[in-house]
Formats: sequence, structure tokens, C-alpha cells
Amino acid sequence: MARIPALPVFRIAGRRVAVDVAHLAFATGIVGWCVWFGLDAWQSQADVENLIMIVPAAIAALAFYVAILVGCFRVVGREDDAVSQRAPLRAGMGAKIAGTMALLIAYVVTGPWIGFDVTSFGYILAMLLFLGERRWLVLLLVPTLFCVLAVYCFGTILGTPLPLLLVPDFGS
Amino acid sequence: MIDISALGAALHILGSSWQPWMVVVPGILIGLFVHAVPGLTTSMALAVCLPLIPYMDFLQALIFMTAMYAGALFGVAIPAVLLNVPGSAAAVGTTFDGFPMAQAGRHNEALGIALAASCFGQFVAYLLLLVLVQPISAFAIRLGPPEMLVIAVWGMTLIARLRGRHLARGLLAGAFGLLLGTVGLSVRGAPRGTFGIDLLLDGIAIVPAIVGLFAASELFNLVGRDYIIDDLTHRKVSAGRILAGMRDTFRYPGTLFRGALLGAVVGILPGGHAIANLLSYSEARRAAKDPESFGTGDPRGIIAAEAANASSEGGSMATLLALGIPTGGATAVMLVAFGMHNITGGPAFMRDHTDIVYAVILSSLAQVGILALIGFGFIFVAGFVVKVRLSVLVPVVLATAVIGSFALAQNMAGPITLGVFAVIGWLMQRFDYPVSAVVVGLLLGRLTEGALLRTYQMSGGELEFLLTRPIALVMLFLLVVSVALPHIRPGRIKRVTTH
Amino acid sequence: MNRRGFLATSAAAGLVGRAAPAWADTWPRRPVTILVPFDAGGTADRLARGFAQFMPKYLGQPMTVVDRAGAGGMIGTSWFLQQPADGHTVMLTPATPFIPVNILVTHARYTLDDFTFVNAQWTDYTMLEVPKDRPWRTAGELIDAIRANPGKISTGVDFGSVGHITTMALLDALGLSPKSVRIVTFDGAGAMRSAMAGGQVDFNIGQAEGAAVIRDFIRPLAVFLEHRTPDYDAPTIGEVLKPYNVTVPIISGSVRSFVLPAAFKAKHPEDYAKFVAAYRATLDDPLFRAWLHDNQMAGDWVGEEKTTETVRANFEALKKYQGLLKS
Repeated sequence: MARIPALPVFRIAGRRVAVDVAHLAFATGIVGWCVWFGLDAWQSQADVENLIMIVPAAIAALAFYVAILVGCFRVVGREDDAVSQRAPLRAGMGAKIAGTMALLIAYVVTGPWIGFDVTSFGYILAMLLFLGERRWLVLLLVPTLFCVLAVYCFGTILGTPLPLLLVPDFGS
Repeated sequence: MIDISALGAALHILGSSWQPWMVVVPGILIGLFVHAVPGLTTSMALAVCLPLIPYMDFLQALIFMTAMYAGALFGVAIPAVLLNVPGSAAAVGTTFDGFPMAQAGRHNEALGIALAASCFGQFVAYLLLLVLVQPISAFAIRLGPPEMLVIAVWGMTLIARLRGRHLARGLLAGAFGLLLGTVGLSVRGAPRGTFGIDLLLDGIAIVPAIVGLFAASELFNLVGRDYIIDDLTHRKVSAGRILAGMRDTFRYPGTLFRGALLGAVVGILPGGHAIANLLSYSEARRAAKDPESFGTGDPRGIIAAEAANASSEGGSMATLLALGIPTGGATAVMLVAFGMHNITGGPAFMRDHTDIVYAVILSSLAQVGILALIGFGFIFVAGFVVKVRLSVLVPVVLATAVIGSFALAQNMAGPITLGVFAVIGWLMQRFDYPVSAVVVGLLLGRLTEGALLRTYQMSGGELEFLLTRPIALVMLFLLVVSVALPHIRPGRIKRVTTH
Repeated sequence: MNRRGFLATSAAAGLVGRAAPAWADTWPRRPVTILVPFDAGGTADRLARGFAQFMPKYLGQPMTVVDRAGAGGMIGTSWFLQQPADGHTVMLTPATPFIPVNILVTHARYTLDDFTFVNAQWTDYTMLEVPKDRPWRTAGELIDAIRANPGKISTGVDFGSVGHITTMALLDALGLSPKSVRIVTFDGAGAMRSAMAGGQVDFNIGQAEGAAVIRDFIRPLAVFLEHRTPDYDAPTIGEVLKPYNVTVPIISGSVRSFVLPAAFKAKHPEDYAKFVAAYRATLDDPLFRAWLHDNQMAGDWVGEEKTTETVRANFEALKKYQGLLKS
């Protein structure tokens, strides 16, 4: 059953206003970085040559932000539902997507540190389980095959040694 | 314009022994393999090729490198079509229509189209090179920062076209990308946005960022699906349909030729080869009577992007051979072959080794046919990817991309960048921001700023400077006209009819 | 114990065992890595590969080349200093200008004292040149033109390079403000050479070696050397500046040298001496000399003292003119 997301509604200046909080937060994050970047560049070297493209681009970003900002607020009538225009997520998909992202982040952070052999095996195994794979053969074969091939290809063929836990001679 | 005796000598060299030809197939295969895997880059292909070069003579080394790059140019399109993950910045344009076609079950045709367009583009470029290498290079060196700036602005108009449904969001994405592209140490020694992190001094790692934005965001969405193509009956690999796709390419000769020519010209400029596919896509879309079909699986999108990408190599070859100056990408790779045999390009080289130059060009023309054959077989095998369950495909592709992004620089900058941009990319998709606009901005960032900066520096702040750059002014005029034209015409007709 | 040792022992250690490589009793105990902090295919990288081919004979262990490019050599150099200072990782790099630039411009966290500069084997020099289509036939004419048209003549610079420093030093010596020319900053020497070939800028002081590629497009006006060179038909900067009664420091161009961590020489002086001996033997090897000649690379012996002097002199020059670079 699709859950149609409803936007939070606030009372502003006596009217009911639906605010797309999530989008607002995201857009603010993006533009916030743009502005911070412009200031950082300014502070690094405050002359025309350094800022010749950065400042105009940051200002443009602010201008577009204003347009987006306006679109995030919508006055809703008494009986209207504040419906988000985004495609609804199937039940549970939000959690699943967040889970795959968390696994990826964990992988990229631990990979260079612990070693790509172990973490790749773990990542692929975890993803398979998380995405619903239950066949033992697949759960064992795919991560193992991948790790063996990856270590061989990157280490030997491409000559780019990887940090590894279990195979000392290939380590960097 | 063609030195007949040198041409004859070249034909003789190529026809008289197997030696120069031995390296073509291995070169193409290495290029194809490495670039068909998302996250792997040309540097890695080079790592495989470099140790072999000392065993070859100069001509073989050159042919080996061009073959490797021929494979590379097409190879990057394969994951672009099948997985929506471009193998490099050069295949970004191919994803726009390639992946939608794959999702509709027409992956065979899409890959066939990409292969044919790529081969055609390479062929045209080398043909031009054969006839026009001297005039091309003479023209090339007269292009400087002001001309590059116009090209960069032209590239930026693509951002506006990629905006998706919401203009402000698309433009914000583009501005964001532009700024991201300037992160790092400026050309004048000032660090921007680096947080004091040394690894950011060279800027954001482009390939991991692109892979993160495209791959992870797309693949996350597919978490809800089981296969790339929903319909089982379409999940087939068919040689016949690949061939049909290849033939289909020639039903759009306008798009094909325009893409090839545009790519060749843009490839002459430094940094041009990376954006040739985008510029061509943008132009094809602008020139079409039904631009809305672009981005939904229109073959013309693939044709424009691939043809230009392939032909841009020929353009940059001209600058390398005639001037000894690499313009990035293929030619930087070629320069390695030059260096290892201790030869410098340039006019002296052209004069003294014209036969070798022609031999390389001729063999590249022949390579097109060999690429078509090998590429066809490669596509056929690669196509089986659509039969793999996403629950297996997603982690394997991501893991490969992550390891690849590490292997390149041997530090965590790659993987972390991929992770960060995966999150950003998914959020953008969620809130309906065009990820492609960010990518275009990212690719154009440094290029645009550099061109703008140098134009400013050359002018000393005086506007009259532009009057001394007729080429730039002409280009600017053409750009303005091409952008304004679609808006002016309908208005005129309206006015006429109301009177 | 480094993190790998810790994890290996705390995890299922011994799960995958491999025979340890044969260790020798004396240095070098295992294969030696030559680190090049630039991209594969560049001059430093190619020189390193030459050494990897010819030097093991004198060293007693194989050598492999590892490239780690980034931030103008800083990434690789930082990594190099993180390796144990036991002589099994050596660096081959243009010690100057890159290490001084890393320290002064890119704010690297190391200092000159962290390194031992073994020998300035292959040194480049700088040269003043103009595109062929420009009217000036002597350096004097160019200088007069700059004086007569302040703020109109443009020069291309590769920021932070020896050419850049020399350009600013020259202007300074002649009493010209940095604003008297239009400084156009390029992303690397290659891009700048393209611009010179295309006549996009009016003059350039840059590496002579690199200029060989665009020889047909430029006219050399002066070489920054003590004595004239047969390579180019141009006066020395000393000759050029005589009528103006000023001098300019002659800063060496790229100085390629083996670089070792200072700690290695301090802690293992006998092993260091062994390295130097093996290196010298390689330089004297007729096969290697032939290889160098074929690749148009030099094999000079200048010695550690003189090399260190050169690096420090360059460092001081960069420091002195650093302020001018930013204008």
C-alpha cells in the first residue's frame, strides 16, 4: 500500500501553509555549502582573479535558492491535504534504501583502513542478505569469487596494490 | 595536402609486415576491458600497457596506444547503457538515452547504436586527420583562452537544457556542480574549500564523484526492483538486435555527421575531448524538431554523444602530432609512447617522420573495422548483465567501483568521494534535481574558470581586448544565435498572423 | 605495531599464511621502492624506471617504481616521509622547485631538513622566449617595450615554477612593478607551452627542456646560465642585463635527484653510504650511460653538499619573491 506523504502544515500569519521541510532542508544544505565555499575562497585570497567565477556562481546559487524557497511554501485551503509531489515510497523501501546507503558508507570508510579483501567480502555478503538473497550457494560463492578476482586483477594485472588484511604480500 | 610519397611509404610499412598489426587486438581488448568496468580509468589501462612498450618499436607503440584508446572510447559506453554508470566523463552523454533504452529492454539496439556511432566517429576523425592535419593544427594553436571561454559557456547552456521539470532546481544543480569543480588549489596557489585536507588540493576526484552520483543514486532506486529490465521477455541478449541497432545508426545521418564533425573540432582544444559528447548531445537536442524525446530513449541522443566522443580523439591527435602538444586524454597517453622512445612531436616530427604519422592514421582507420568486430562480440557478452539479479549486480558493481576508486590514487580520497556523492546523488534524485546538471557543472568547472581567468588576465581588464579575438567573437555570435533562434521564430510567426 | 599487525593478530591470524620473502642480512634487506611523486610517463618516472633496470645489479636487490602524483608532488612526498626510514623506500624527484614550492606555497608539513638530497643528476635551466611572430629580436627590445607600454605586454607563467620566480625577480631587478606586465597563469607547463606556440602571450620565462617541443614557434632571447649554451642561439642573462647595471639570481630549473629521508642518513650512515656507492656505480655503468644518452637525460655528479646548497638557494629565492608571486 503506497503511503502518500503529507507535508507538515504550519500556521503562518493566520493561514495554513504546507511546508516541504525535507526539500527545504536539502536545498538549504546545498546552497549553504555554495555560500560557505564562496566565503572560504574569499578568505583564502580576496581578489578578482581568485573569485572571478566563484562569486558569480555562488550568487546565482542564492538567486535560484530564493526561487526554490518560494516553491516550498504553499497555502492550503481548509479541506486540502498538503500532498507532496514526490513519488510515494513503497512501504519499507525507505528503510531499505537507507540501509544500502549505510552499508556503502561503512564499506568506503573501512575498506582502505581494514583491508579490501575482508571488507569487500563483508559488504557484498551484507548487501545480498539485506536485499533478500537466501540461497547459501550464492551467499558464499559471489563474495568469495569477487574477492579473489578483485585482489588478483588489481594487485597483479593492474599493478595497483590494495591494502589487504589476509594477504600480506599484496599490501601497500 | 597529402604527402603522396609519405603515404606510399606508410602503406608499404603497414602492408609489408605483421608487426605493426600485432598490437591492435590486444590494445583494443585492454581498452575495452578496463573501461567497461565502472570506476576503472585510463590510468589503469596505462599501467597494463606501459611495461609492454619498451618491447615495441615506435610505430608499434603508437598503434598500440591508439588501439587501446579506440577500445577505451567505446568501452565506457557499455556500463553507461547497461547500468547508467558512465565508464568515464566521456560517456555521460550516452547515459541520457542509453539507459532508458536499456530499461525498456532495448539494450541490444542501444549498444549496437553506440558501437556503430563510435566507429563512425573515429573513422571520420582520422579521415579528416589524414587530409587536414596541417591546417587543423595551424587553426588549433590560434585558439586560446577567449575561445575556450565561449566553448565553456556553450557547454553551460547544456545545463539549462538538462533541467528536468524544475528550472530553478536544474540551475542550482548546475551552479553547485560548477563550484564543486573549482574545489582545490587554485592555479594561483590559493586553496579553496579544502578544509585543510591535502587530498582535496587537486580537487574532487572526478570519476568516483560521477560514479557515485550516477550509480549509487540509480542503484538505490532499483532496490525496489529485481532486475534492470522488469519484463522477463526483454531480458535477452540478441546478436540480431545488436546488428539492427548498428544499422539503425545510419538512419540518422544528420545527427551522425554533425556529432562526428563537432567532436573532431572540439577535440582539438585542451580539455575538449571530455566535454565533446555533452556538447554534441546538447546540439542534437537543440536541433531536433522534437527535443522532448531526448532523455527517454531516443537513438539520436546516443548517436550524437558517441560519435562526438569518438571523433574528439582524432581532433586532439592533430594537435599532438603536428605540435607535440597533448590536449589530454588519448594524447596524454600517446605522449608516454613518444617519451619512452624519446621522440618529441611537433613540426620537426611531422617533417621527418611523415610516413610514421600516416601509418598511424591509416592503421587507425583500419582499427575501426577491427573495433566493430571485437566490440560486437564484447557487447554480446556484456549484455548478459541484464540477466543478473540486481541483488547480486548492485553490490558487485559498487564494490568494483569503490576498489577502483582507491586503486587509482592509492588513498581513501576515491572511496570517500564515491560515498559522499552517492548520498548527494540519491538525495538529488529524491528531490527531483537533475544529477546530470551537477555532472556537467563539475566537468566544466575548472575549464570555465581557467578560461575566464586567463581571458581576464590577457585583457588586463580591458574590454577592447575582445576585439582582437575575431574567432571568439564569431563563435560567441553563433552561440547567441543558436540559443536565441528557437525563441525568436515562433514569436515572429505569431506577430505576422495577428496583423 | 601498525594497524595491520594489530588486526592480523587479533583476527584469525595464520588463516592465510605465506612464506616470508628471503631476507638478506645487510641492507638492503628486501626490494627497494623508488617513489616518484608524479604521474607515470613523466621525466622523473622514466628516469626512475631506468634506474630500476640498471641499479639492482649494484644494490643486490630488485627495485620497483611507484608513482603517487598529486598536489604538485606533495601527496607523494608526504607518503614518502611516512614510510620507515630504513632505506627501502627512496624518492626520485625534481627536488627543486617542487619541494620548496610544496613548503612555501602549498603549505606542506615537512621542511627541507627532513630530506637528504643525494645528487643533482639532471638539471634544467630557464630561458626567456617570445613567440616567433612578435617583433622583438633582443631581450633589450622586449624590456624597452614593457617600459614603454606598462600593463600591456603579457607573460605566461606556470605558477610557483622557477620560471615564475625568475620572471618576478627580473622585473624587480629592473625596477618594474609586477603590474607592468599582464601575468597569465597556466595550469602546468604543458598548457603554457601551447599558449606560447599559439602566440597567446607575449613572452615567457620557462624551462629550456620543455621549450624544445615548441622550438619552431618561439624565439629565445636569453638563457639563464653563467655561460652560453650551444642549444640555443641566445645571450646569457648576464650579458643582457649588463647595460642596465643589474643582476638577477640564476635559479636552477628542475633539479632531478635521489632524495632520502634525513633520518635514514642519521640513523644508518653506513647503509646510506652503501646506497650512494651503488648509485655512483650505476652512473658509471657504460650501459646506463648509453641509456641516459638515448633518452636525452643527464648523469651529472655534483655531490650531496652542492646539491643541498642549490636546493636551499632556490628555497631562499622563492621565499624572497613569494610575496611578488601573489600579486
